[in-house]
Amino acid sequence: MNIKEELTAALQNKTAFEIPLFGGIPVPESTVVSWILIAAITALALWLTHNMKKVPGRKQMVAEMLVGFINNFCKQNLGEHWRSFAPYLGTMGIYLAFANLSEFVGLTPPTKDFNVTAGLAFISVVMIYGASFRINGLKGGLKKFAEPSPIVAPLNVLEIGIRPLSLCMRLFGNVFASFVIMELIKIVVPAIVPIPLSLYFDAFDGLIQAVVFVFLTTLFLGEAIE
Amino acid sequence: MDILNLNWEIIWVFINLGILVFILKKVLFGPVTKMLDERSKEISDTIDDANTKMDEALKTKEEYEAQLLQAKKEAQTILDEAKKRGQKEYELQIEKARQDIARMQAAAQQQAEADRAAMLEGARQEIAMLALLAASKVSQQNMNSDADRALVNAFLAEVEEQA
Repeated sequence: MNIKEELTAALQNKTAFEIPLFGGIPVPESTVVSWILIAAITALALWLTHNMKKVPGRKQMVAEMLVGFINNFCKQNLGEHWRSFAPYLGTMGIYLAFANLSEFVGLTPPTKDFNVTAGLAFISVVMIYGASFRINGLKGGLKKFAEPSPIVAPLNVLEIGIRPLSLCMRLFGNVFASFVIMELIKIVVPAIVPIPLSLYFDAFDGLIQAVVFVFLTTLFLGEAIE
Repeated sequence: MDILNLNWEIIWVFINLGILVFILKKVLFGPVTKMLDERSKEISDTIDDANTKMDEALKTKEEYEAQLLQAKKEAQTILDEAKKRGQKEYELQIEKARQDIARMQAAAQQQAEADRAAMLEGARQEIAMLALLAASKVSQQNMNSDADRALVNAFLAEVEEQA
Protein backbone atom coordinates (compact mmCIF):
# COMPACT_ATOMS: atom_id res chain seq x y z
CA MET A 1 0.00 0.00 0.00
CA ASN A 2 2.90 2.26 0.66
CA ILE A 3 4.08 2.05 -2.94
CA LYS A 4 0.60 2.66 -4.31
CA GLU A 5 0.19 5.80 -2.28
CA GLU A 6 3.58 7.09 -3.28
CA LEU A 7 2.89 6.39 -6.94
CA THR A 8 -0.52 7.99 -6.87
CA ALA A 9 0.97 11.04 -5.25
CA ALA A 10 3.64 11.25 -7.95
CA LEU A 11 1.07 10.93 -10.70
CA GLN A 12 -1.12 13.80 -9.54
CA ASN A 13 -1.21 16.90 -11.68
CA LYS A 14 -0.37 19.46 -9.09
CA THR A 15 -1.28 23.09 -9.16
CA ALA A 16 1.95 25.03 -8.86
CA PHE A 17 0.46 28.31 -7.65
CA GLU A 18 -2.48 30.61 -8.11
CA ILE A 19 -2.44 33.98 -9.76
CA PRO A 20 -4.19 36.23 -7.24
CA LEU A 21 -6.60 37.73 -9.78
CA PHE A 22 -10.36 37.26 -10.17
CA GLY A 23 -10.39 35.15 -7.04
CA GLY A 24 -7.30 33.12 -8.00
CA ILE A 25 -6.37 31.59 -11.35
CA PRO A 26 -4.68 28.23 -10.78
CA VAL A 27 -1.51 27.60 -12.78
CA PRO A 28 -0.82 23.88 -13.20
CA GLU A 29 2.65 22.48 -12.75
CA SER A 30 2.82 21.51 -16.44
CA THR A 31 2.37 25.15 -17.37
CA VAL A 32 5.18 26.27 -15.11
CA VAL A 33 7.46 23.60 -16.58
CA SER A 34 6.39 24.72 -20.04
CA TRP A 35 7.41 28.27 -19.19
CA ILE A 36 10.80 27.04 -18.08
CA LEU A 37 11.12 25.07 -21.34
CA ILE A 38 9.99 28.07 -23.38
CA ALA A 39 12.61 30.21 -21.67
CA ALA A 40 15.30 27.58 -22.30
CA ILE A 41 14.31 27.07 -25.94
CA THR A 42 14.19 30.83 -26.56
CA ALA A 43 17.59 31.31 -24.96
CA LEU A 44 19.03 28.48 -27.03
CA ALA A 45 17.49 29.82 -30.24
CA LEU A 46 18.78 33.31 -29.52
CA TRP A 47 22.24 31.96 -28.73
CA LEU A 48 22.29 29.90 -31.94
CA THR A 49 21.04 32.62 -34.24
CA HIS A 50 22.53 35.83 -32.91
CA ASN A 51 25.03 37.50 -35.19
CA MET A 52 24.17 35.46 -38.29
CA LYS A 53 26.43 35.84 -41.30
CA LYS A 54 26.42 34.77 -44.94
CA VAL A 55 29.31 32.46 -44.17
CA PRO A 56 28.00 30.51 -41.17
CA GLY A 57 29.88 29.85 -37.98
CA ARG A 58 29.50 26.65 -36.00
CA LYS A 59 26.44 27.79 -34.02
CA GLN A 60 24.72 29.13 -37.10
CA MET A 61 25.41 25.85 -38.88
CA VAL A 62 23.58 23.95 -36.13
CA ALA A 63 20.61 26.31 -36.40
CA GLU A 64 20.63 26.04 -40.18
CA MET A 65 20.82 22.25 -40.07
CA LEU A 66 17.87 22.10 -37.68
CA VAL A 67 15.71 24.57 -39.59
CA GLY A 68 16.83 23.13 -42.94
CA PHE A 69 15.86 19.64 -41.78
CA ILE A 70 12.41 20.80 -40.66
CA ASN A 71 11.92 22.86 -43.83
CA ASN A 72 12.92 19.97 -46.08
CA PHE A 73 10.69 17.59 -44.18
CA CYS A 74 7.75 19.98 -44.66
CA LYS A 75 8.65 20.56 -48.31
CA GLN A 76 8.58 16.84 -48.98
CA ASN A 77 5.26 16.28 -47.26
CA LEU A 78 3.39 19.53 -47.82
CA GLY A 79 4.68 20.69 -51.20
CA GLU A 80 4.32 24.34 -52.07
CA HIS A 81 2.53 25.34 -48.83
CA TRP A 82 5.40 24.32 -46.57
CA ARG A 83 6.27 27.90 -45.63
CA SER A 84 3.05 28.46 -43.67
CA PHE A 85 3.37 25.28 -41.61
CA ALA A 86 7.08 24.65 -41.08
CA PRO A 87 7.42 27.08 -38.12
CA TYR A 88 4.47 25.57 -36.29
CA LEU A 89 5.44 21.95 -36.93
CA GLY A 90 9.06 22.70 -36.05
CA THR A 91 8.07 24.47 -32.85
CA MET A 92 5.83 21.57 -31.89
CA GLY A 93 8.66 19.09 -32.50
CA ILE A 94 11.19 21.11 -30.51
CA TYR A 95 8.74 21.68 -27.67
CA LEU A 96 7.80 17.99 -27.49
CA ALA A 97 11.42 16.88 -27.57
CA PHE A 98 12.28 19.26 -24.73
CA ALA A 99 9.14 18.33 -22.80
CA ASN A 100 9.75 14.59 -23.08
CA LEU A 101 13.39 15.00 -22.07
CA SER A 102 12.66 17.39 -19.20
CA GLU A 103 12.67 14.59 -16.67
CA PHE A 104 16.45 14.46 -17.05
CA VAL A 105 16.78 17.82 -15.33
CA GLY A 106 14.34 16.85 -12.61
CA LEU A 107 11.23 18.47 -14.04
CA THR A 108 7.92 16.70 -14.39
CA PRO A 109 7.35 16.30 -18.13
CA PRO A 110 4.43 18.52 -19.19
CA THR A 111 3.32 15.81 -21.61
CA LYS A 112 2.40 13.70 -18.59
CA ASP A 113 -0.46 16.16 -18.09
CA PHE A 114 -3.37 15.01 -20.21
CA ASN A 115 -4.41 18.62 -20.76
CA VAL A 116 -1.15 19.30 -22.58
CA THR A 117 -1.30 16.42 -25.04
CA ALA A 118 -5.01 16.99 -25.62
CA GLY A 119 -4.35 20.66 -26.25
CA LEU A 120 -1.56 19.89 -28.73
CA ALA A 121 -3.70 17.32 -30.55
CA PHE A 122 -6.60 19.79 -30.62
CA ILE A 123 -4.37 22.46 -32.19
CA SER A 124 -3.08 19.92 -34.74
CA VAL A 125 -6.57 18.89 -35.78
CA VAL A 126 -7.82 22.45 -36.00
CA MET A 127 -4.82 23.20 -38.19
CA ILE A 128 -5.33 20.13 -40.39
CA TYR A 129 -9.00 20.77 -41.15
CA GLY A 130 -8.57 24.54 -41.16
CA ALA A 131 -5.81 24.24 -43.76
CA SER A 132 -7.90 21.81 -45.79
CA PHE A 133 -10.82 24.25 -45.99
CA ARG A 134 -8.62 27.29 -46.43
CA ILE A 135 -6.58 25.87 -49.31
CA ASN A 136 -9.24 23.77 -51.05
CA GLY A 137 -12.12 26.14 -50.37
CA LEU A 138 -15.36 25.15 -48.68
CA LYS A 139 -16.42 22.86 -51.52
CA GLY A 140 -13.00 21.29 -51.95
CA GLY A 141 -12.66 20.83 -48.19
CA LEU A 142 -15.99 19.02 -48.05
CA LYS A 143 -15.05 16.98 -51.10
CA LYS A 144 -11.96 15.79 -49.22
CA PHE A 145 -14.28 13.75 -46.97
CA ALA A 146 -15.44 11.75 -50.00
CA GLU A 147 -11.94 10.67 -50.94
CA PRO A 148 -10.80 8.22 -52.15
CA SER A 149 -14.42 7.03 -52.51
CA PRO A 150 -17.75 8.43 -51.21
CA ILE A 151 -18.35 5.14 -49.39
CA VAL A 152 -15.64 5.98 -46.86
CA ALA A 153 -17.11 9.42 -46.10
CA PRO A 154 -18.50 8.37 -42.69
CA LEU A 155 -15.09 7.07 -41.70
CA ASN A 156 -13.48 10.33 -42.80
CA VAL A 157 -15.96 12.25 -40.67
CA LEU A 158 -15.20 9.97 -37.72
CA GLU A 159 -11.51 10.69 -38.23
CA ILE A 160 -12.09 14.29 -37.15
CA GLY A 161 -12.54 12.89 -33.67
CA ILE A 162 -10.29 9.86 -33.94
CA ARG A 163 -7.20 11.65 -35.13
CA PRO A 164 -6.81 14.03 -32.18
CA LEU A 165 -7.80 11.29 -29.77
CA SER A 166 -5.16 8.90 -31.11
CA LEU A 167 -2.57 11.65 -31.26
CA CYS A 168 -3.03 12.80 -27.69
CA MET A 169 -3.59 9.34 -26.24
CA ARG A 170 -0.48 7.94 -27.91
CA LEU A 171 1.70 10.73 -26.60
CA PHE A 172 0.12 10.82 -23.17
CA GLY A 173 0.14 7.05 -22.83
CA ASN A 174 3.79 6.71 -23.71
CA VAL A 175 5.02 9.50 -21.49
CA PHE A 176 2.70 8.55 -18.67
CA ALA A 177 3.69 4.89 -18.84
CA SER A 178 7.38 5.61 -18.90
CA PHE A 179 6.87 8.02 -16.00
CA VAL A 180 5.05 5.35 -14.02
CA ILE A 181 7.67 2.74 -14.81
CA MET A 182 10.49 5.06 -13.87
CA GLU A 183 8.73 6.04 -10.60
CA LEU A 184 8.27 2.37 -9.73
CA ILE A 185 11.88 1.56 -10.50
CA LYS A 186 13.05 4.53 -8.48
CA ILE A 187 10.98 3.35 -5.53
CA VAL A 188 12.38 -0.15 -5.79
CA VAL A 189 16.01 0.61 -6.73
CA PRO A 190 16.85 4.25 -6.27
CA ALA A 191 20.44 4.15 -7.59
CA ILE A 192 22.29 3.19 -10.83
CA VAL A 193 19.65 0.81 -12.25
CA PRO A 194 17.33 3.66 -13.29
CA ILE A 195 20.04 5.23 -15.48
CA PRO A 196 19.99 2.89 -18.52
CA LEU A 197 16.27 2.39 -18.18
CA SER A 198 15.71 6.11 -18.01
CA LEU A 199 17.80 6.48 -21.17
CA TYR A 200 15.42 4.13 -22.92
CA PHE A 201 12.06 5.18 -21.47
CA ASP A 202 12.66 8.92 -21.22
CA ALA A 203 15.21 9.74 -23.90
CA PHE A 204 14.59 7.20 -26.64
CA ASP A 205 10.86 6.76 -26.24
CA GLY A 206 10.35 10.45 -25.54
CA LEU A 207 12.14 11.50 -28.72
CA ILE A 208 10.38 8.82 -30.75
CA GLN A 209 7.01 10.05 -29.52
CA ALA A 210 7.88 13.65 -30.33
CA VAL A 211 8.85 12.60 -33.85
CA VAL A 212 5.76 10.43 -34.25
CA PHE A 213 3.45 13.21 -33.14
CA VAL A 214 4.93 15.73 -35.56
CA PHE A 215 5.26 13.19 -38.33
CA LEU A 216 1.62 12.11 -38.11
CA THR A 217 0.42 15.71 -37.95
CA THR A 218 2.46 16.52 -41.05
CA LEU A 219 1.18 13.42 -42.81
CA PHE A 220 -2.47 14.28 -42.09
CA LEU A 221 -1.80 17.88 -43.08
CA GLY A 222 -0.21 16.84 -46.38
CA GLU A 223 -3.13 14.57 -47.09
CA ALA A 224 -5.59 17.36 -46.29
CA ILE A 225 -4.06 20.05 -48.48
CA GLU A 226 -2.76 18.08 -51.44
CA MET B 1 -8.23 11.02 -9.19
CA ASP B 2 -6.72 13.82 -11.09
CA ILE B 3 -4.68 11.88 -13.62
CA LEU B 4 -6.81 11.96 -16.80
CA ASN B 5 -7.78 15.56 -16.32
CA LEU B 6 -9.32 17.40 -19.23
CA ASN B 7 -10.57 20.76 -18.09
CA TRP B 8 -10.41 24.48 -18.83
CA GLU B 9 -6.72 24.54 -17.88
CA ILE B 10 -6.13 23.36 -21.45
CA ILE B 11 -6.15 27.08 -22.30
CA TRP B 12 -2.67 27.31 -20.80
CA VAL B 13 -1.43 24.94 -23.50
CA PHE B 14 -2.80 27.15 -26.26
CA ILE B 15 -1.27 30.24 -24.69
CA ASN B 16 2.11 28.59 -24.12
CA LEU B 17 2.36 27.07 -27.57
CA GLY B 18 1.17 30.30 -29.16
CA ILE B 19 3.91 32.20 -27.34
CA LEU B 20 6.54 29.63 -28.30
CA VAL B 21 5.50 29.58 -31.96
CA PHE B 22 5.61 33.38 -32.02
CA ILE B 23 9.05 33.51 -30.41
CA LEU B 24 10.59 30.78 -32.55
CA LYS B 25 9.15 32.29 -35.72
CA LYS B 26 10.82 35.56 -34.79
CA VAL B 27 14.19 34.29 -33.61
CA LEU B 28 14.71 30.89 -35.26
CA PHE B 29 12.58 29.91 -38.24
CA GLY B 30 12.15 33.35 -39.77
CA PRO B 31 15.76 34.53 -39.86
CA VAL B 32 17.32 31.13 -40.55
CA THR B 33 14.91 30.32 -43.38
CA LYS B 34 15.54 33.77 -44.81
CA MET B 35 19.27 33.19 -44.56
CA LEU B 36 19.00 29.78 -46.24
CA ASP B 37 16.84 31.22 -49.02
CA GLU B 38 19.22 34.09 -49.57
CA ARG B 39 22.19 31.79 -49.68
CA SER B 40 20.60 29.34 -52.10
CA LYS B 41 19.52 32.26 -54.27
CA GLU B 42 23.01 33.67 -54.17
CA ILE B 43 24.51 30.31 -55.08
CA SER B 44 22.14 29.79 -57.99
CA ASP B 45 22.80 33.36 -59.12
CA THR B 46 26.53 32.77 -58.97
CA ILE B 47 26.22 29.54 -60.94
CA ASP B 48 24.00 31.22 -63.53
CA ASP B 49 26.44 34.09 -63.80
CA ALA B 50 29.36 31.71 -64.19
CA ASN B 51 27.52 29.77 -66.88
CA THR B 52 26.68 32.94 -68.78
CA LYS B 53 30.27 34.08 -68.58
CA MET B 54 31.49 30.68 -69.69
CA ASP B 55 29.18 30.75 -72.69
CA GLU B 56 30.32 34.24 -73.55
CA ALA B 57 33.95 33.25 -73.26
CA LEU B 58 33.40 30.23 -75.48
CA LYS B 59 31.64 32.37 -78.05
CA THR B 60 34.42 34.93 -77.98
CA LYS B 61 36.98 32.18 -78.34
CA GLU B 62 35.17 30.75 -81.35
CA GLU B 63 34.99 34.20 -82.87
CA TYR B 64 38.68 34.75 -82.33
CA GLU B 65 39.52 31.39 -83.78
CA ALA B 66 37.40 32.12 -86.84
CA GLN B 67 39.06 35.48 -87.19
CA LEU B 68 42.49 33.93 -86.81
CA LEU B 69 41.68 31.36 -89.47
CA GLN B 70 40.42 34.09 -91.76
CA ALA B 71 43.55 36.15 -91.19
CA LYS B 72 45.74 33.13 -91.86
CA LYS B 73 43.88 32.46 -95.08
CA GLU B 74 44.22 36.06 -96.14
CA ALA B 75 47.92 36.09 -95.35
CA GLN B 76 48.35 32.90 -97.36
CA THR B 77 46.49 34.45 -100.30
CA ILE B 78 48.60 37.58 -100.16
CA LEU B 79 51.76 35.51 -99.91
CA ASP B 80 50.71 33.34 -102.85
CA GLU B 81 49.86 36.36 -104.90
CA ALA B 82 53.16 38.00 -104.09
CA LYS B 83 55.01 34.83 -104.94
CA LYS B 84 53.18 34.53 -108.22
CA ARG B 85 53.82 38.13 -109.07
CA GLY B 86 57.46 37.76 -108.11
CA GLN B 87 57.80 34.67 -110.23
CA LYS B 88 56.18 36.46 -113.16
CA GLU B 89 58.38 39.48 -112.69
CA TYR B 90 61.42 37.23 -112.41
CA GLU B 91 60.53 35.38 -115.55
CA LEU B 92 59.87 38.63 -117.31
CA GLN B 93 63.24 39.99 -116.24
CA ILE B 94 65.01 36.81 -117.23
CA GLU B 95 63.29 36.85 -120.59
CA LYS B 96 64.23 40.47 -121.07
CA ALA B 97 67.80 39.78 -120.09
CA ARG B 98 67.92 36.84 -122.43
CA GLN B 99 66.60 38.97 -125.25
CA ASP B 100 69.07 41.72 -124.43
CA ILE B 101 71.89 39.27 -124.42
CA ALA B 102 70.74 37.79 -127.68
CA ARG B 103 70.44 41.25 -129.19
CA MET B 104 73.82 42.26 -127.90
CA GLN B 105 75.34 39.04 -129.16
CA ALA B 106 73.77 39.60 -132.55
CA ALA B 107 75.03 43.19 -132.58
CA ALA B 108 78.52 42.07 -131.54
CA GLN B 109 78.56 39.40 -134.22
CA GLN B 110 77.41 41.90 -136.79
CA GLN B 111 80.05 44.33 -135.66
CA ALA B 112 82.72 41.61 -135.73
CA GLU B 113 81.68 40.55 -139.20
CA ALA B 114 81.61 44.13 -140.38
CA ASP B 115 85.06 44.68 -138.83
CA ARG B 116 86.36 41.54 -140.45
CA ALA B 117 84.91 42.50 -143.80
CA ALA B 118 86.40 45.98 -143.49
CA MET B 119 89.73 44.49 -142.45
CA LEU B 120 89.65 42.02 -145.31
CA GLU B 121 88.77 44.83 -147.67
CA GLY B 122 91.65 46.92 -146.28
CA ALA B 123 94.00 43.96 -146.48
CA ARG B 124 92.89 43.21 -149.95
CA GLN B 125 93.57 46.78 -151.05
CA GLU B 126 96.92 46.74 -149.31
CA ILE B 127 97.83 43.49 -150.99
CA ALA B 128 96.62 44.88 -154.30
CA MET B 129 98.72 47.98 -153.75
CA LEU B 130 101.68 45.84 -152.81
CA ALA B 131 101.12 43.64 -155.80
CA LEU B 132 100.84 46.64 -158.04
CA LEU B 133 103.91 48.12 -156.49
CA ALA B 134 105.78 44.88 -156.85
CA ALA B 135 104.60 44.43 -160.40
CA SER B 136 105.53 47.99 -161.28
CA LYS B 137 108.94 47.43 -159.77
CA VAL B 138 109.27 44.27 -161.74
CA SER B 139 108.06 45.87 -164.94
CA GLN B 140 109.73 49.12 -164.18
CA GLN B 141 106.62 51.08 -165.02
CA ASN B 142 103.77 52.69 -163.25
CA MET B 143 100.93 50.45 -162.73
CA ASN B 144 98.36 52.72 -161.27
CA SER B 145 95.89 52.97 -164.04
CA ASP B 146 92.38 51.76 -163.42
CA ALA B 147 92.87 48.88 -165.78
CA ASP B 148 95.79 47.59 -163.81
CA ARG B 149 93.91 47.82 -160.55
CA ALA B 150 91.02 45.83 -161.96
CA LEU B 151 93.39 43.19 -163.13
CA VAL B 152 94.94 42.79 -159.73
CA ASN B 153 91.60 42.67 -158.06
CA ALA B 154 90.43 39.97 -160.42
CA PHE B 155 93.53 37.98 -159.62
CA LEU B 156 92.98 38.38 -155.92
CA ALA B 157 89.40 37.28 -156.19
CA GLU B 158 90.60 34.21 -157.98
CA VAL B 159 93.04 33.49 -155.20
CA GLU B 160 90.36 33.96 -152.63
CA GLU B 161 88.10 31.55 -154.37
CA GLN B 162 90.83 28.96 -154.44
CA ALA B 163 91.73 29.52 -150.77
